[in-house]
Amino acid sequence: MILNIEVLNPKQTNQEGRMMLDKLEVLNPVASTDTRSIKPALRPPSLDGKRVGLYWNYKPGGNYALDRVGEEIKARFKGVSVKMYPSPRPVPQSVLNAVKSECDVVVGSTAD
Amino acid sequence: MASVAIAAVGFERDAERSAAIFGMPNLPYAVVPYTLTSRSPEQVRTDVEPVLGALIKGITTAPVQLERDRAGGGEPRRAECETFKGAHTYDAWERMNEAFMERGWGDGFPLVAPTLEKVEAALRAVTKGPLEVLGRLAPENGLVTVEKLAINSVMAGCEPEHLPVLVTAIEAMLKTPQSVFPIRTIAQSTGPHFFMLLINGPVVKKLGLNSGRCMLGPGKPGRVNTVIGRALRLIMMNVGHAYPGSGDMDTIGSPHKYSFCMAENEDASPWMAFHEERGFRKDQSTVTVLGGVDVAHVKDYNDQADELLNTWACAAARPHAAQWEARLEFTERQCLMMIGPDHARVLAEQGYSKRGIREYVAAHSLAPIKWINSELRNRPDAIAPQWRWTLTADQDSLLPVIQDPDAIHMVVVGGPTGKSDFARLLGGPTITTEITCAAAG
Repeated sequence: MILNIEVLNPKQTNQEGRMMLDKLEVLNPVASTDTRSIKPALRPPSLDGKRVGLYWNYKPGGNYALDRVGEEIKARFKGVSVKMYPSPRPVPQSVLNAVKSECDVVVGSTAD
Repeated sequence: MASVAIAAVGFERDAERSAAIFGMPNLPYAVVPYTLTSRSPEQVRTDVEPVLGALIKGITTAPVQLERDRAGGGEPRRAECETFKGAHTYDAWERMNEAFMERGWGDGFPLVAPTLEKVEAALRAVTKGPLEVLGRLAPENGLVTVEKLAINSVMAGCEPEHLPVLVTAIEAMLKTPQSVFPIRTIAQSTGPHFFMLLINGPVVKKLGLNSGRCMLGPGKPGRVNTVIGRALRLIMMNVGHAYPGSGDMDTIGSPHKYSFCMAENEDASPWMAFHEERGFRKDQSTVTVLGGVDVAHVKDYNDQADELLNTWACAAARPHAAQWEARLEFTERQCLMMIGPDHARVLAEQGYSKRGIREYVAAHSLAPIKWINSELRNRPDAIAPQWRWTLTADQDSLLPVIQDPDAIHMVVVGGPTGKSDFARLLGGPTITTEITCAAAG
């Protein structure tokens, strides 16, 4: 079966009294997202004597990457302490509180 | 707190968008050349070696300022209108489709033009105003206004009377805690997770939803199911910003993501309907949203209930990868028995209640420990403490994959014959919510 679909031009349709436009006005389907930004925290110029948190979200492999980062930081800076914070997602308030009270800086892994 | 992140190649945009969504567009990060998840400890250490300096720099020097505040991001506004011109209307519509697809606003199929007239008609079908804000939708916290839902429903091919179902579905998703219904994970994960709608009550017949044969399509019988399910996908993309490559990091993708809208075949069910189990009357219309992982077919022509349930137990016995992982906020993996009417009849005639079925299937969903903990044996730190004993147990001994009978949800769907489906879920269903926002007439 062959279907013949005739597309009428605007003049023809107007003569017939129907409104047929050669333009299409459509509405934008995309919602706005909240883009407020928090001022970045101040960075210490050196990690000497600082408390470094390693935030691991339990994604496989992230802990090994963070372990290596911790080793490097300990090798490069004096009097630095390093602690791993394993955490489910989203981060429980207890982990957030611990990181906030126990760390000066944090390195996190997101893996995949 | 001064922070720096490690991200894998291919996830840069995801990392930047995620940081921005949580208010940190300046968050420094370093990129490693492989996803860490499938690498050995030695390989990971090698991967991270070249970026050690960048990571230390990220927490010892001020980040580059990338202020991205945009005025009005938090205020609801009426949608902007855009004009497409063509030699004739059809030509203009094709140009609109090409532009929308190019911008990533479509699902791949042609879109119905969201004209002002069509959107206004949809808005008249709900008791809520166009700028009423329902909340913010994950993964990128898009501002949910009723108008944006209406626009996307029109694009999906919905009729105005379908909009109350979608508004109610989004409300259900927004009011259910992430620990129960993990929207962000379902939308954004590298897995093929998809959103499933389940509709109950008189609205099923009123809207012409198909609860019987070929409910999930394709074709004419499931047309209403198709467009409502499709609208939810477009809403997740254009309102939640679950766009492939940033808000949706799916590794392979899935046809289930295009549209998945079920209606319970309540006439064929020998038991209480899904919504009645949750405290609603049969004459109330409700929506529930579920997060699907995959769907397995359950074929069994048995007329003996016990044998039939063994087939179901077999379907339930496939472990979720990493279902014992400590990182999961939704600790109990759940599932949905999509029971065909013949299976329901056989089970009910031989005395099985829904409770009895749940208990049987859970108790017999047996798999060897080595299958259930296979992903975790080499990284015991990641296994939840209550399952660590399995690391030293006899790896061939059997354990139920489904520990809790209440993790099994049940719905009667589809047409006659001995065939059903078994869906594995991510998290549990949303709070089942009554559709109360349909305008009179």
